[in-house]
Amino acid sequence: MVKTTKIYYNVCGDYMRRRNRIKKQWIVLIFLAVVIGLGIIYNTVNDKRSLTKIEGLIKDTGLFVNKIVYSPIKLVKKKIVENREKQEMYDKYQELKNKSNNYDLLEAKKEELEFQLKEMQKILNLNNTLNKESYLNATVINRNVGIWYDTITIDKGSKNGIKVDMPVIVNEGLIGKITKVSNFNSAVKLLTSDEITDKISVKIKNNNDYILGLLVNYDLSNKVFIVEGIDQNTDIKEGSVVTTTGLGDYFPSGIIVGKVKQVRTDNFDLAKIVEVKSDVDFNKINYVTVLKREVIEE
Amino acid sequence: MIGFIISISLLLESILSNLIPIGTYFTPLFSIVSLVIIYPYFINDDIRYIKYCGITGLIYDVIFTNTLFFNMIIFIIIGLIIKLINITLSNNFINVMIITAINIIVYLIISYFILWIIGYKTFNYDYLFSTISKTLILNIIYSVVMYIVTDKISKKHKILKID
Repeated sequence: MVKTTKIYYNVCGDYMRRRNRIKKQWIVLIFLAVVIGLGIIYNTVNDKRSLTKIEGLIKDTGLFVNKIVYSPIKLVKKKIVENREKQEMYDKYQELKNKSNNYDLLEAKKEELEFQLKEMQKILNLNNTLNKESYLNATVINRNVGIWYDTITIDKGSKNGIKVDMPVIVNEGLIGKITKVSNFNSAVKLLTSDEITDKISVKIKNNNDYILGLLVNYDLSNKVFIVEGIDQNTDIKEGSVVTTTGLGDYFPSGIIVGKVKQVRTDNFDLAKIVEVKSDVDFNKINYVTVLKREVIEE
Repeated sequence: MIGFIISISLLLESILSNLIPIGTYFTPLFSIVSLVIIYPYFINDDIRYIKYCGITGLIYDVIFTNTLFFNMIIFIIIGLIIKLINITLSNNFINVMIITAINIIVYLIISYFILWIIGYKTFNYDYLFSTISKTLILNIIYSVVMYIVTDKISKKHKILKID
């Protein structure tokens, strides 16, 4: 009887041990699967990854169908907006009519300034600056599909000369850069994105001088850009204009980013942190301009 | 019927994303809703349903988000959750609303957490919560409309579905 009970317990023990081993193996397998899965997702979500030909083809076809379906709705929307704008334009026309007397004076001044700029460029031998851009207007065809990505899709692609990392602007200022390009569409990563891999060099106008800083991220709760790397002893006025410096690989000089909203010191009282408010409504972007940057050669 | 629901939902999601500004209380996520609506048409064929979820996710990945496999994996998880919930809940418009709400919350939380783990997003509880609240209203309305429309079509054409 005792012997039988012993055998029974041994069998039970073996069974339990085997079961625990299998359980552990499953846990290890699941853990490995999760790690591998996250690795794959990391690689595919990464902006540096370029689209494969098949992906590009599927994307172009899908967005082409989407564009066809959307076109009648777009037409109606356009007519409504046009009518509203017509009224606004008439009001502005009346206002501008009064200002038109000063136009000749301003035109002469502009010509003089352009002449001066050319002369100065010659003197400084700035023939390879990044100031000449060719502009390409594009329509936004997708916006908040995939909420977390802060990306918009535009209807121009590599066939229109668009390349990865080209800056994208709207009338109110800089909005982002091209991250993915297929033949007829491109994805634009917005500056409001969390993914901070490329800090943007910016300059803040301060009287007749410029203060350099780095745009590091976007504060979602206050809806402002954060500019760091500014000396504690520098005075910056609220409302000063912030533009790009042209330093770095992507953004040319002189593109407006926004205006200074608030200046505060960092936690260690060593440097100033500037909050910059952009005039761009990142929730309502319908048309954009891509700067197809070219280097001026003599 | 299934293909029709998925394509209409994907197209509408894309179109509405252009018409409705981001940050309002009407953010579309119709592709997730379509997974809820199509489930009753897979009678005793769960594997085929999961395959459809994966394909929808892959299409969503390639066309709209420039990613690969990310939404496909999440859509499959969503498909499994829909399958589990449907074991206990019957198919009527109130339950469709509940299932839609649960799945949208799950989708947003999973996708946000994955993007946070791989370092793509910084974690912000308020942002996550506000996004969830902004996404629910329109999608619940869409789920009810879609349920009523597809229910009438299936009754008219005598298409079998789970009730």
